[in-house]
Amino acid sequence: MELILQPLLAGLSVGAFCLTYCFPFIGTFFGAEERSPKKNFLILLEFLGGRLAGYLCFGLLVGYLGEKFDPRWLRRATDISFIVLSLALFFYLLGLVREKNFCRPPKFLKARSPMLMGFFMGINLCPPFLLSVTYVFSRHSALYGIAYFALFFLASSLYFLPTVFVGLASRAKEFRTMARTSGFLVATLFFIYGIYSLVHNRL
Amino acid sequence: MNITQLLKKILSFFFLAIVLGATLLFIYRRENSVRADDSLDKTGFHEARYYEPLPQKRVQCFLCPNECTFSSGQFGACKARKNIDGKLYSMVYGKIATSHVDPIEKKPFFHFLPSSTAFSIATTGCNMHCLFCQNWEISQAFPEDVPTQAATPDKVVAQALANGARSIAFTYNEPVIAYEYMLDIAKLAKSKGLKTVVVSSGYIEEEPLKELLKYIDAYKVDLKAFNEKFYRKFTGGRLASVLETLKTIKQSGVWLEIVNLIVPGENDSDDELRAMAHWIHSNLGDSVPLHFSRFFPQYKLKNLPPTPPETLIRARKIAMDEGLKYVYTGNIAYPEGEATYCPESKEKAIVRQGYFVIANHLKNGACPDGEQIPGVWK
Repeated sequence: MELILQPLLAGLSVGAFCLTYCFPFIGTFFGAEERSPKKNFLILLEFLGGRLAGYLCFGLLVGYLGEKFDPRWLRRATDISFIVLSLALFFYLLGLVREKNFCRPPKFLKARSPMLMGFFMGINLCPPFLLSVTYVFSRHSALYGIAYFALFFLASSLYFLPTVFVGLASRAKEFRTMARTSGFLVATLFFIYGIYSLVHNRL
Repeated sequence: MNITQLLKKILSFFFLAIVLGATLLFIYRRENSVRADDSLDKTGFHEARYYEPLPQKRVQCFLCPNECTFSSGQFGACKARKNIDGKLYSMVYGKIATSHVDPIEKKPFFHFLPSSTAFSIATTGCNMHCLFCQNWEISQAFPEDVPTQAATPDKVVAQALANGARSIAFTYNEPVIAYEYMLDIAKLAKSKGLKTVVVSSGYIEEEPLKELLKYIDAYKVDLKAFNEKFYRKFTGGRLASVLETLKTIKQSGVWLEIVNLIVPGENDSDDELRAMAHWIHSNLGDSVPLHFSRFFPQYKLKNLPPTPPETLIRARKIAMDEGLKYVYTGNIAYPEGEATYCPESKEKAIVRQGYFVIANHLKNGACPDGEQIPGVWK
């Protein structure tokens, strides 16, 4: 019972923080384009699917390696994920504003942006996520690591459901413009921070 | 511009503010986390101090008199320090099992910032195994046995300040086993003007103790009995080591108070109580506060009855007859044993009820007649 309750409670208790960290990306995504609520919900599922894949990869690695796991590798991976995330967001937004121009991003990138972003958010070492890592260390089981993060994901995902309603505001042109502007700003900030952190990485 | 347009603009700017705020918050929190991680090595844990490597990846810890020797993969007797591949690590660094804002009188400290609050924290583990432990759920647990909260020293100090506490108390379980964490917090707290207090069994080696005392403002030691047999039978520690600790603390000038939990039939004889009081008077002076505390059956000593209140009153009288000036009783309703008296005039200087100060007639530690009572008063 504890094996199920522990990750569920952890997910529920830190889910709001997870949302805070993911919101700059997912919120911008919902606000930048006018879509039906159903379409937005499907995008959210795609984002969460990517996030689940990221969590499972992480759970497998941490559970398998246990205390041999070097968190500093992941710090570097997180830095890289910031850069990739910001590029994914940047190209997505560029695709919206320069649909017919030469620097139009590849179709795949635009179509799969939510999943890619979800995946890279999933492997991010955000502070709430770190809380769970040590607990999983002690179990020394890849299977347990996967199960733990799957349940953690399930509980924390509940907090993401209301983000679909950001899409309602995107009917207004002013809001879409602002969402795209904020997206570019977020992408720029994360890109610069990712480069900075990678260069200054204390390995 | 009509109202609808205005609302749309407000909503848009609100969205921008939230998104940018969340981004900056994320970056700020991560940078803090990265800085905290810099104290960890590649295992993700904080390397312990006071140990020596031995052949075949074994190590020997010299933090406490247990001086555990253990192979790779093994924990020490404290369940807080582990040998990983020939290096000793603190497995409780930055992992708080519980935290509360307590009155300082609860520790108990009766001569240290009366009626102030202490931000009190604990990790898991202990280097003793007292059969009567009241916090055994955390003190006898491994770090992964109980839910813990990650907290860097910065965060602990910030929380203490945010809660209006005047001190940080390392308490509930034995803080010595989280030595490196306690030391880092104490150093930081000192730089921020916060005081720190240690609530301990006093089971620590001299060298780490002296290093710690440079950053600590007050130390409370549980002197569990005054006979080695009791220590062996009920605690797993040694009396002689604790007595050395008491002398070292007193010599350092750090404020010291002593607690003795009286267990009926085990450490409550007149002779033992008199010998204890005499030793304190001879080695530490007559001004060290001594608290006699009432035992309640718990953990592995549920078969014993609670200490009769008369025993505590008798113990207090014996200690005062031996010349100790500040002797208190705890866990019983006995106003006389909870008050601090001006030694010459015999007037009540501080009146307490349980953990709370009802009246404080001291001015910077001085009685109305000018007599100074030792302690930390500001």
